[in-house]
Amino acid sequence: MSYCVHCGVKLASYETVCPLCGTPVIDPNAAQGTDQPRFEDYIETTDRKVDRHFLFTLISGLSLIPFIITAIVDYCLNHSFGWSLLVLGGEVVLWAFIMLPYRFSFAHPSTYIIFDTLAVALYLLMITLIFGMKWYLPLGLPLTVLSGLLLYVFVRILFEGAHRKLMTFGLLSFSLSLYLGLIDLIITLHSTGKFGFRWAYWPFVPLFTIGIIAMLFSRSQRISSWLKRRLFI
Amino acid sequence: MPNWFKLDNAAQIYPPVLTGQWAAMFRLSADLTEDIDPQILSQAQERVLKRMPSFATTLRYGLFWFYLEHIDGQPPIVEDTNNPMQKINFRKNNHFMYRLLYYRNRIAVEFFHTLTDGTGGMTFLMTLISEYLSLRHGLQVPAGKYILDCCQPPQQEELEDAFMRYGQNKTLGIAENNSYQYWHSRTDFNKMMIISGSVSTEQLKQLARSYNAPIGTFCAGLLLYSALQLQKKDRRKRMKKKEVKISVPINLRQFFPSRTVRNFSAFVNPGLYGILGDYSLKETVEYVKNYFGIHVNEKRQLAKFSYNVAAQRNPLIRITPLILKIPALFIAYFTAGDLLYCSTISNLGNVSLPEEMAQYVERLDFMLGKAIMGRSMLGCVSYNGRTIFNFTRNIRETELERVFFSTLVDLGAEVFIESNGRE
Repeated sequence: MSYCVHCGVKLASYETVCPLCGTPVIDPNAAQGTDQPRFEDYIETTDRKVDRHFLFTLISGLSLIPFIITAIVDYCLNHSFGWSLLVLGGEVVLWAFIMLPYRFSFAHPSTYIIFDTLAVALYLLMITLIFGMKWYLPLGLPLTVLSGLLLYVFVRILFEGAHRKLMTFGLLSFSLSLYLGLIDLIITLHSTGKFGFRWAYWPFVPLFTIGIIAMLFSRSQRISSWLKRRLFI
Repeated sequence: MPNWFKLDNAAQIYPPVLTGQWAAMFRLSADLTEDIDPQILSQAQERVLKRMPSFATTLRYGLFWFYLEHIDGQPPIVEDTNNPMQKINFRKNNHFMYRLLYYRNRIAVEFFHTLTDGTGGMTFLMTLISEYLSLRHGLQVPAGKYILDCCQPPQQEELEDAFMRYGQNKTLGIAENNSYQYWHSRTDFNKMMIISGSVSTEQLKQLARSYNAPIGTFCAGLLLYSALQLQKKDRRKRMKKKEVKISVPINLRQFFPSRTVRNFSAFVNPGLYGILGDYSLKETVEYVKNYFGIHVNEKRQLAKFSYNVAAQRNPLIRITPLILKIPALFIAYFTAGDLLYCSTISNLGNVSLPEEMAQYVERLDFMLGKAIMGRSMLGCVSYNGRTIFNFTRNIRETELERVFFSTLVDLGAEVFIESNGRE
């Protein structure tokens, strides 16, 4: 029978270190094995991994139920498939946003954005085709692609330039200014038929200027260190 | 007997937080004087399941609530493991919500908390052992506090939801501050670290008496004191300001007579602000004693659990589909449950068995299952002149246990420590 020299507790003879403090048990006179270990050696394992393939299949399958129900209702009422296809399109978009990253691991997260943009663009195309609208090519598609592009750029900048904070900030500000400028350009062209800006000057000018200045400053060690000194929180 | 049961009020919270890897579990075990014969144990289990039908059930999803459905057969009897209270694999366990294990001379039962509480679990284990002994040695153990007569049919009162029976309209809000959480690093997911400390009950009684408190209050005070010592060493400023709270389950049967073997317990969370200064053990025990005086009484507990009963009776909540209740209860478990304390002490008290049976039972153990958050939990039970403190944890650090036991040693108690290893 041994005692822990640190905690003062009496220890079972099979303990080689004190379970409370980790102090090794040194007792040359201890009779080995007089106490039976209270616990079996076998460790039961619980599989921590969720079966992603199964869940992916299950949720993908279950998500078809709302579409099937709405399709039946749509067909019964209108004898054709119209608005029920919107449900399908919406589910495909959700699937691309949620289930795709859940099931497939791409090397870079920006890859998901390509699929998300594609899903949204196709959904908008479906809407315009079902309702016979004509805004898809001049407005819907460019805005979707532009937004996807901005997100793609943001993700790449954030993942690859995290160690250079000022440069990252400059690039984000710069690309946001370009995005807002192009958005305004597309909307103005669509609504008036002319190239031009209506509101983008206001966010474009400060964001563009800040972006350029930040990128320039980030190249100078002296200025960036001065900024750090002055602006730390 | 009905072939299905509504979940009792306290059991409602556990199924929504049931994940593929985690379930709220607890374990009771008894060491006999001889090695266990699993075949006889299986026969005993069959008889006990007929007598206690609420244990022969499995969890099912209804449209509005979970419910328990009767199932035939019995769970397989398996050998004990080094890491008890892993989440039950219901499929491998024949869909039963408790596991029956044996190891040499030990019989252990691990319960999913939806099924029962400590008192109900102890009744199941003791009835099982009495049946086992009667089959093996022809013993006739008289029915008593924890032992049911398996020759009798199940009684309706043993299966009742006592919360619903006693719940009233006078309620008391349950909003509380979150507790300090001590710093920890998690062990491997499959590990379940156990430190078991055994102290003479007589010695403990004398110690508690010197602090002018019952054993249960003294132990709760000691655990709170240990947690306060952890906060004192903690360097995180945010955590320094938090109240150190522990959770203490209360057996409601002491205030509201019931023979139910299902859940009928509540919690109180005594706590102290370490930032106010150093509390001695005497002050801590005194505080816990006063806290229990205020909170652990019939009126206060009735008003507290009536709050949950009122929620369960609310027509709006009743017609809310289960699929919406699950996330709500999941959030409630973390915000109004798990964050309110940094450790738990569950004391089953002194268990005495009929003499015929006591000669075959050497030791009883009570363990609490893994917490979702990283922490140590303490389950204790006194039997045969020894009080066994079982600390179970899913973290590497053992500081709480060390302070707890070394304080007992400092007070003059002789503590015998066993464990299943150290990570």
